[in-house]
Amino acid sequence: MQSSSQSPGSVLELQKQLKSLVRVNRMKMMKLERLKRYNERLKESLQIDRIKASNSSLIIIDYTERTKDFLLPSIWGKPEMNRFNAPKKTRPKQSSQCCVIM
Amino acid sequence: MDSQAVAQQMEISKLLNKQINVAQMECKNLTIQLSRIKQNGRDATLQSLANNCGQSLSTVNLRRYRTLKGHFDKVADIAWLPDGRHIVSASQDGFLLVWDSTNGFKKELIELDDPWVMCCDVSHDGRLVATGGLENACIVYKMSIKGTGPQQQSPLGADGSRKSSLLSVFKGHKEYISGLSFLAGSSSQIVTCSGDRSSILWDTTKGGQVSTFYGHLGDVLSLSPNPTDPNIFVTCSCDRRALLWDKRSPVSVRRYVSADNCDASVVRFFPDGHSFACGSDDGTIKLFDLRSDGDIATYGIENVRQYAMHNNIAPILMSPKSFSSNEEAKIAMGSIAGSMESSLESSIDNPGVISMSFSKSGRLMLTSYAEYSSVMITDTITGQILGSMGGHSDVVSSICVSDDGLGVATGSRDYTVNIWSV
Repeated sequence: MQSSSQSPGSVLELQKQLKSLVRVNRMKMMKLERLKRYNERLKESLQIDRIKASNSSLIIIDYTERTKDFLLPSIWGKPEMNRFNAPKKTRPKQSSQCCVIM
Repeated sequence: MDSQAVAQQMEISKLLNKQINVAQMECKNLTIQLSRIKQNGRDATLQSLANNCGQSLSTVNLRRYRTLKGHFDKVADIAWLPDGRHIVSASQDGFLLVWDSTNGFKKELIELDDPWVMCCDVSHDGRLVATGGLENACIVYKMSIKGTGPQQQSPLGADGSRKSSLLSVFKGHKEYISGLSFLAGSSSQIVTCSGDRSSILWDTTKGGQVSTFYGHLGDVLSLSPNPTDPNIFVTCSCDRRALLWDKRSPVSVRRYVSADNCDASVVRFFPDGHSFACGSDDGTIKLFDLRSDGDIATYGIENVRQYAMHNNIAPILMSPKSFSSNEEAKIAMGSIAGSMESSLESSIDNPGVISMSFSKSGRLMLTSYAEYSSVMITDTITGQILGSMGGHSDVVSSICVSDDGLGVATGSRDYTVNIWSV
């Protein structure tokens, strides 16, 4: 056997080297895995249908023109009823004239 | 034997190196390809096409109808009930109040389990309110508000003991909860985002978490659900990125870089569900479009500062002396003199955009900044500032537009909530 001809010190050395190599390889494997996954995602995002920014801007403009918005009375008119504008329920003021002490 | 194994491992190592090199090259190529495609798509901005908009706006004025007073600490977050009339406000005094915004009456009081509340949201059916805060738990309460009839609620039960209305306590985040929201149209599914870099989907009927979303490299600061699609939501983070998520996928579906060198602090979907706005700590807001996969508009802070200067809107950070020139600020002085220092601190803590919201059509963008107590009204299409809403004396922490688009509520660090409309 080859190993029997070596001194016990070098065998130990060799084992240490093997261990560290295995560890490094495992890390490399993980790195490769991660890279592959990332590339997959990049490929996926290349597949996405994209429209031009000009088109999406125009769609947004159209959306704002089509949707009724009460906060823009200059475009959409005043709401028929504004619940926030409801008259405060206060007791009618009593003037001194209406109280007549008999 | 060992030397043989070593040689074998060496061989594997070499092979792996080669494969990694190939993958890295591929990655580089793909990235270049992708950025080229994205660059090609960016042929215009919203502002550059503004002349295609038939309806021009000059100024927008909103009237303040009510000031809701009742909290005795900063209002952290507010939310409309679906009836567009009742409103929930969560304050750092440890209480949650339900108000009738049309007359200013308090309808319900809920004592919070976590007094350090940061966010709240109301379910689609208006029955539940979810809160999150510094104690890392998302707590859901039942509200007893039903319909619109007057209802008197006492925090004390019939036997004098404190009534509790807990529905669920969701624990799972390892850090503070910065934002939460019910998914569009849902009354049971809640998404929370947290300082632990994750977002979690919870279900009140299931009584626990459904899935966790990892992908951000820093604290997640804000989230917004897609108003038209109950599966989609967007988050933004200290890592300067905004990520789009599908609740059925554990990894983000799209990523956008929202700021160059500062936190992306607020995110809000555009009402059509195809784009979203992201505000950052330098005060810049960008509008990202999902169909064209990129940003289509930028709203800088310079415009805001210019508008504020021309309209005598004093920045909050100014020294008390310079306040005296301004009527509005004079009133503000009285109430914030004491909290001046804390206000200063907090605006340093979290500069830039604090909150934003879109009007029903998306034409108006309402934004609050750390520098001003007024809410700015921006034309989303032209980028011009059309008006401001001045009435608070401290930073506005939350802006909400009611479901029908008629009412606007603003909650502020000056302890009050204001109700605005046309």
